[in-house]
Amino acid sequence: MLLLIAPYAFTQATQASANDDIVVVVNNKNPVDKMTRSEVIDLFMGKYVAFPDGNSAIPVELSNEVTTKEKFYKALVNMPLSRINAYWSRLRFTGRKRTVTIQASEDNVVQYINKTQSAIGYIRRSKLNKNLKVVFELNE
Amino acid sequence: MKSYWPFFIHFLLSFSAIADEKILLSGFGTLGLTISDSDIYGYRTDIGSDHGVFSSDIDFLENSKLGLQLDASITKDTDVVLQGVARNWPDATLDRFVTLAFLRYSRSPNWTFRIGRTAPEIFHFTEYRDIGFAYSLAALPSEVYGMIPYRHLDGFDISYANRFNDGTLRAKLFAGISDGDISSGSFTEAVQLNNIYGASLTWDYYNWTIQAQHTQAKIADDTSSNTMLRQQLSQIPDFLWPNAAALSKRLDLKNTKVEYSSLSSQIRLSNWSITAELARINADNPIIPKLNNGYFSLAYQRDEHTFFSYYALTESDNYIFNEPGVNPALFPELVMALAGTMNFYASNQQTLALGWRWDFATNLAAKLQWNMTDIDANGGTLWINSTDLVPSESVNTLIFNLSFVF
Repeated sequence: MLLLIAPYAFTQATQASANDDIVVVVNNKNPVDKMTRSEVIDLFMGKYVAFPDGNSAIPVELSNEVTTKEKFYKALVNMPLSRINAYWSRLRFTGRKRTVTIQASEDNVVQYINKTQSAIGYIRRSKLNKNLKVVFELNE
Repeated sequence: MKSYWPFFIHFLLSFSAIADEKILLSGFGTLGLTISDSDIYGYRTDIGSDHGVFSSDIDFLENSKLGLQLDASITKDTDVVLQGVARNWPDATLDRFVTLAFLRYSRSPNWTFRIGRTAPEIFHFTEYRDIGFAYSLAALPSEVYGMIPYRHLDGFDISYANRFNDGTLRAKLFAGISDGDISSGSFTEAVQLNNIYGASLTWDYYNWTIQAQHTQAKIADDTSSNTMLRQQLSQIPDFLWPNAAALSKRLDLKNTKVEYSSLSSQIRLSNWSITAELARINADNPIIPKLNNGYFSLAYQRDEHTFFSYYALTESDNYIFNEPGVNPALFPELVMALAGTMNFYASNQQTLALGWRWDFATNLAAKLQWNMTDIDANGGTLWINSTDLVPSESVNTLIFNLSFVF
């Protein structure tokens, strides 16, 4: 019996883990299909806020309370959230960068990207819907 | 320029009132406790401060500040930013309080144009040195940053950013005017810089940043204390002090060209990060000697804790009175005043600092830093001197900061 349960449990765990993977998404109508890690870093770290085709992007940020944000930056640039906030405080309070759009939940990120073609955000894979397109996977 | 500020801010606020999307109010601050152990040299963050922390002081003024910022988006391409910083300004006017007040236009991801009051990008940290939460150190090396009292640029800048070789290249040109206070402790004067032109080039490649900066400016006018000294010099007959009039003319700070250059690099390797900067200040007036400054900083970060250290140095030539054909015994006070003026900017000291930053919340950090500074004789420009003596001295300074953003 244990031998039968074990593969099932493994499959379930793998599936749950896959659903918890964080993916970077854009609106389905956005012509961009793929982004490199370096391009995603530049965009979310405010270094060059554009898609690979040169068009302006609107990065959608999650509020600090959402755990996906912490996981995203840890996986992307290996920095804890406090250091990300320190980094962004430099860009914001020197007036180098415009303030980013902040959403309170992943569902709100999904809604925002659904109606904004130039928006880009990150969510757990389980939050994907047919209006969104994955352009980068953090486990790549 | 000061009298125009209320009108300019009103103008920007009018723009923000028609902001189509949102107005965001945010802020930053530091509550800083500083203690030091010298009776002669009082710690200060830069030469703009008229306030020194001496051995008997428990000080909350020198490193404390509070900033408020208003961001207003007007259109997709245009926004307005207003920022005020309250700190221990020697001259606490609206002009000093306003640190940012600009209108920005970003037509594409590559080009950004700003007009109004911006933060000067002279050396690596000058743009954000008052935002303590943004960097690991509790206090930046005064050997590099202590000689710059200027905290705003009234003018415009143009930035260009693009991807380059799998990294990001950013170039910025700026122009304008500025002013700041320079204090000897007993005497504080506002110094205005005109015709400021600067360029900054930054290359970001993953965890590596390299930056080169150059700024040049002209001092708008002579300081009143220097004018008094020059007047006295020019009245001395030639047979007592040959070429006194020519010397007086050479010491005139009006239209003195000052150049600031910096080369810096930051690299992050796993938990370690290294920051190094070489900076130089150069002027075409003997009162401001060539200043060669720099630091090397090493930090180790583990989760919410960062342990850091740096070694910083500033060095310049001291003036020793040897004017040809002059008997200094005839003018003891004038010779002393001349030597004091000529050595005012001659900073010579080095600091070894150790510290710890603890991010105990995502927007709140506690920082502790111990500075061990060796000041050379006649080299304590960056400190408030409580006496007429200028001896060499080793000074310990302990800084404890709570820095936050909201």
